[in-house]
Amino acid sequence: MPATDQSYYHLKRLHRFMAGASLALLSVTVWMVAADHRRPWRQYQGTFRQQVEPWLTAAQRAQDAGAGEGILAPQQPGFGKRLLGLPLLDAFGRPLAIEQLWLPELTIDYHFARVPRCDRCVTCHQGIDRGAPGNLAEAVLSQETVLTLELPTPPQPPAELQQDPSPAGPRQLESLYGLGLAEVGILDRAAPTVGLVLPKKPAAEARLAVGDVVLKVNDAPVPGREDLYRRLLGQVEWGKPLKLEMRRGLPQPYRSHPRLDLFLGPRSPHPLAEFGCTICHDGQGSATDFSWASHSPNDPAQPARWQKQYGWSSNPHWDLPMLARRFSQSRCLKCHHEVSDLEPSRRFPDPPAEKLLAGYQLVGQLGCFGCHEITGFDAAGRSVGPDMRLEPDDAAAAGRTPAAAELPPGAMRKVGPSLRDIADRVDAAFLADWIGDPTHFLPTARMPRLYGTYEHLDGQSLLDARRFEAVEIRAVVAYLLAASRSVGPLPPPGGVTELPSPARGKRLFEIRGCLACHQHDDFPAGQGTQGPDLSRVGAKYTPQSGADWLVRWIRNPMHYAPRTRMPNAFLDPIPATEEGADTEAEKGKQRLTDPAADIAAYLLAGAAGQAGQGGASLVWQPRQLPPLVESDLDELALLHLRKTFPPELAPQYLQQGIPESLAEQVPGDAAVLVGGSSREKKLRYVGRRTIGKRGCYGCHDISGFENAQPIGPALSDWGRKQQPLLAFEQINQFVQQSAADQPPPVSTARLPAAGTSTRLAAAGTAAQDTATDRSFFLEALLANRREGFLWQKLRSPRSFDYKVAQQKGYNEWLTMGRFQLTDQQREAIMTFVLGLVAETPAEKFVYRPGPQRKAVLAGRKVLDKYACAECHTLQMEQWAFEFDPAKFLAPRPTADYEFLKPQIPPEQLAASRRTDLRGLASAELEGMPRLEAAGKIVADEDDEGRPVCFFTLWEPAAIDGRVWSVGGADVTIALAQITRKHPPLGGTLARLLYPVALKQGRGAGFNGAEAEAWGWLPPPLVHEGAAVQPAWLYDYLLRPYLIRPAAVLRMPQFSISAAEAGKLVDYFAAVSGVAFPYTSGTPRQADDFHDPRRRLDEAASLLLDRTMYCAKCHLIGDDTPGGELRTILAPNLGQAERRLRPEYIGRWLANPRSVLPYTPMPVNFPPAGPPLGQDLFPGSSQQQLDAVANLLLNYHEYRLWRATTPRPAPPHPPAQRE
Amino acid sequence: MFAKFNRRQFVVRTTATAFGLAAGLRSPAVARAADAQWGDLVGRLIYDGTAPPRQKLKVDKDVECCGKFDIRDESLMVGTDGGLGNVFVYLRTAKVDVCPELAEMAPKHITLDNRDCIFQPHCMAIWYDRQEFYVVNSDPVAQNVAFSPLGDTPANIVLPVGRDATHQFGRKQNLPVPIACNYHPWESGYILPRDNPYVDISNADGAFRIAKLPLGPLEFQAWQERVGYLDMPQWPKGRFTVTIKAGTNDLGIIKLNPLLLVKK
Repeated sequence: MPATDQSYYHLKRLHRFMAGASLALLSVTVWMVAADHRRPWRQYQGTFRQQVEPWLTAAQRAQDAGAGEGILAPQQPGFGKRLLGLPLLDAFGRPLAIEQLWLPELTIDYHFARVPRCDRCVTCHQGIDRGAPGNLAEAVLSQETVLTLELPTPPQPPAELQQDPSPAGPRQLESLYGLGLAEVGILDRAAPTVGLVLPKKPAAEARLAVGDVVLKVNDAPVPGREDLYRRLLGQVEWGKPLKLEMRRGLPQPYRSHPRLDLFLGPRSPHPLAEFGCTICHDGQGSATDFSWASHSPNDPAQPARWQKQYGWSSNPHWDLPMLARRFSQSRCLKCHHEVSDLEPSRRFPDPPAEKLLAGYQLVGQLGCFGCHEITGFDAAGRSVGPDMRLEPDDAAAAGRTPAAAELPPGAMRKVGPSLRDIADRVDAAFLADWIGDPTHFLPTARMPRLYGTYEHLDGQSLLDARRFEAVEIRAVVAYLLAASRSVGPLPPPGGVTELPSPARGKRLFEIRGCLACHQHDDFPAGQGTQGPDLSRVGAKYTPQSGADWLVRWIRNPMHYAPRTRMPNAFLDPIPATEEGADTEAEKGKQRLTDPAADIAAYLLAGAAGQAGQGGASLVWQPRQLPPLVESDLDELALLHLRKTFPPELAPQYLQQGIPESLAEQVPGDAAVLVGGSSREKKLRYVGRRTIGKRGCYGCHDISGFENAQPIGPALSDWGRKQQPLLAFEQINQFVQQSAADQPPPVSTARLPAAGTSTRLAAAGTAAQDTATDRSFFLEALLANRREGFLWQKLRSPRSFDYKVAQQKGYNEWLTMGRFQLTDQQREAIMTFVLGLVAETPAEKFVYRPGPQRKAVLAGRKVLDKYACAECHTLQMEQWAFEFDPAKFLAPRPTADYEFLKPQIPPEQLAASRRTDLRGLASAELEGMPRLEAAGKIVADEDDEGRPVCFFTLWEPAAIDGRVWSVGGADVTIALAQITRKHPPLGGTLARLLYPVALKQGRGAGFNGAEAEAWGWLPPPLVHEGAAVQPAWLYDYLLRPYLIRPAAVLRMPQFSISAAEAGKLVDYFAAVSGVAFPYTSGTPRQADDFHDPRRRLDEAASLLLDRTMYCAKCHLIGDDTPGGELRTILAPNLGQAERRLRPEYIGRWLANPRSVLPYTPMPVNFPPAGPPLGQDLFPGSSQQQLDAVANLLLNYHEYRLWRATTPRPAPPHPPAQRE
Repeated sequence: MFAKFNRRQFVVRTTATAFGLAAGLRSPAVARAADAQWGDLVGRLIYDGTAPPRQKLKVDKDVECCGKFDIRDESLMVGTDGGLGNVFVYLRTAKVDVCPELAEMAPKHITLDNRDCIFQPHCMAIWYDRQEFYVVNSDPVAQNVAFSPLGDTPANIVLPVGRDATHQFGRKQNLPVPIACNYHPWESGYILPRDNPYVDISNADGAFRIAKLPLGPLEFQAWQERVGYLDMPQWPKGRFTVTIKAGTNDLGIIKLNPLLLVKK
């Protein structure tokens, strides 16, 4: 059949269909292109490039040009760029593109493989690493905030405006205020935006910054630039400052990352190109959409806001959602395994991870690691996180050097006291009361509450809990008392003539160092947290044996508990100094008191009802326990026995005891039942089982639990624990039914005040609304998220047994006790625990400190362990302040030895001369403010009546182009111009005792300068490494002796190991920057004593001269200077050669204040003017100084040599020779 | 020996000059001679009660020399008729005109002598940018003189037997600076460096006179070493304002409640 033109379909219809389809395809294509063009990341990137970037470019240009004042006309993108930004065309020029950081070494765990990380976060967060501190763009890219500033106005309007009051424009604004407005705003082009701030003009004084948007003037909104001109130039009450409300910074995603000195900045330790984003923040780095990136809200209102703004929804398909901002410090633990390396340092004085550190310290203080192992190593022995394992129970094991494949032993010490001799101290009634609820005796107790938390129980469970807990408490008491063994008593000190006195005890308690670690209501300023509050401690001891034990314990705690952190304070008998000691009748009769007995008497005073000298009321009675119900005891014992023995034998063993034939096979717990059963035996059995179940040995040293394992789940990688593995059980119901979700009423445990509370106050959450926080965590709990679980676990740990307890046996119930924590403390602990992920990135990213820093970090742990910083200042205060160079008072130049002059680089000196826009220079100082006798900062005022204070330098400073030396004039600082204060590290007790010591010195007849009293207190150790010889320090730490007779308290002896002493020696050397290795002393050449150039005999005449030189105040060997006033006795110079570094002795002799600014030692070898002591040592001051230093360094050898070598006969006088 | 003689002579002369100047300034004849541009402020401080006996201080260093002196507490010096001595009364108002006569008459040095194991005088004032602080040791034992002025260079000067030294203060102080001897902790003294000569220290009768003050309202400060500022209802923080007129401006007798002078 021939072909025809006839088609089998309707051509016209087909054409119509094709046209329609083409149109549809075109529409879809256009829609697709449009949708692609409108993808959020393009919007953000486009906005940044077109509106923000020109500001940054202009700022950079201004900065490079040295102008540094402003940006009036940021250059807008040209036509070409805008054209290429149009839909479709943008496919060619790609002005906007996804930007990604490819991080092959920072892999991510996809369960089946570890794959390189690809972070595209910077696609939207374009300005994340821009606007470094000091950059003109810093304010532009800062976090969006609203500020209120005061713009000064001149008393009279300028003549120009007087003639024509109608406001003018930019020129007048600039000349009058030094202020210019940019031609266009940043995000809002019409907003009146600051584009120019001229130096030393009102705008600069008011601290306006480029990029600020003026929102209101004197509370009236300012819609545009013209309106602003009118408000600032026309409607002005001249002479009165204008109140400006400003918006500074940009919203996300345009703003920069906080702390660019620490994060993302090219010179920071975490540059963006190397670290990316998700290694710290988590989230899906490859996503370019807000939701898919797994942003996590930080408060309960944020999801709704985000949903509206970004279309956010929770992304359940990504295992590693971003951490809420409140936990952003958690991930530091991935690489900072030591944790203490996150402490503020000289390079980063602003704390890098305050909340995390607070959490770490809380975990250490509360002893969480006693029940929950926190191992810092993986199976292969690689470090994966903080290591907080308990130290081995056996001292020999602790000191053993581990084999290569073995982990080093743990170093954490149990936080509770040893209970091995508990029966000597307290009776059963107190013990039962304490175990039942520690807060009944001590409201600030740190021990968690193990009994009586029933809010999750009801019905039979509640009844079981009540009856079995009563049995358990008695049983634990029975076991502890039965297992207690007395430690041989210390022999009493000889020669004591006085009875114990609470009044003396109170004074000694204050000044002999107890307040470094303990608190007491009589001394509210004392905030030590290492030990418990002792206000009512006297009430707990049994009347006779307990009181005796307390005296002996205070005298030498290590005798009773070798691992206690409480030191031996060398409380040897001391002469009585009051109550008639100086009367004529008493003269010639030595009256001795026992300080330990006095302190014990003070603590015990009032135990019988009378208020002690301190006034603290000790009236306290333990609660009565209900009578023991034997059937409950049997039932509970049976529950335990059935776990160990066949069910049919358990009742028999309970009633008749375990046959002696089975003694060898019986586990330790049940051994007590071998050979017969009794009520007491059953109690001890249940007690031992209960201690094992509740994990009491995690905090206390208890006989019979030497090798017991922690009872709780390990926390080493809890931060990544799979959510299905978390037993939320019926928690939703519990939360919903519990009355309005009120938290259990708890007071707060006494925990570090200086560290934790200060840190938390500044950690960003303290100011937040507690209700908001609670809603956030409740929402997380109800959504079965990890942080919700942890929050509830720390708040009401056994609530996960709600409705479940009845399904489980009593001994299977949750056992974690409830700690007393504030919301902030809880969140800090969570921040730490959530950071325990055991995910260590490639080795190069893990923080591996250099030898010096490593020594510092290791030393810090030892210092923290023994609370050394409670007494000693480890780093002085750091202040920053501003000043007007024209008005700044500098001291007169004074003569000094060349070798004492501090070396400050010229560029640092030049930088100290720089002034900011306001014409103010700034400086940073390290030292301490001058204090008056009462311990308050000395306040004065300048000629204008502004309050000023005075700052004593402990480190040289560069101020206004001049070098300020240590030992010179104090720096005068106007209080209003202090811009930053970093508190000292340590030294709390020294500052607390300063007024007390001064008062005591004055009472003893001392009239000298106030600064000297610092020398009677624990000394700052900021230059210790540069001062002392390592070998001496090592010995001294292990066996301290009395160095300064004038001190009101002496260095105690701690149960410190040799290894720990070595770490401390290394620490001090490292922080002082002395040469490595630190553990060897500086070698000294033996002197040739015959060399007449040494002139040692003449130097000895200076050294031993009692009329003026060293022996006037110093002990030298066995020689003591005259005088009874301990306040003027100086250290024994016979020890100097072992104790002090040679270079330190030289500095000290040349200018003692340059080493120790408070020292009373005078300048014996003045650098200018005629030298002194020419009758003893003819020569210059420098020669005298060198000779005395040389002699001090060889003193014992010299004495030996001099004793065996006859002195040369003096030359005959010329007349006789003739 | 010769040098020592000269030094002593110098001390004597300087001290005599200082006392002469002080006596001269208090002389009514000089006051009458003052022209109408200047006025004197006078007053007398009376301890309104029975003064406690001055405690004997513990002397246990260099006893062979210092033990023979009756060294007593100088923190509250009350004369036989109740006059309170050693109170600093000084001009607080900053940047005032100074009578040129005073500049001409001011001695070059203010002297502190270590004599009889105490500082003599106990209280001093110094016009810091015109006068030097001269310290000398007249005792047969070594002494040292230590002070730390606020915001100024501290000093701790050793003075062997018969030696002397000078010190230049670098700035004025609003409070007297304590002086101590670290060898002999019972010793104490005070010096007030100011940028004008308008300071007086009440004498044994409690009287003070600040001569040749510029006219007009001026603020003054009263300070005593036991309690610091003499804080009274009429002198809050020890400060009071007087409109100085030509001639003598007499504050009369100012009675001080003994409770005011109890060491806090």
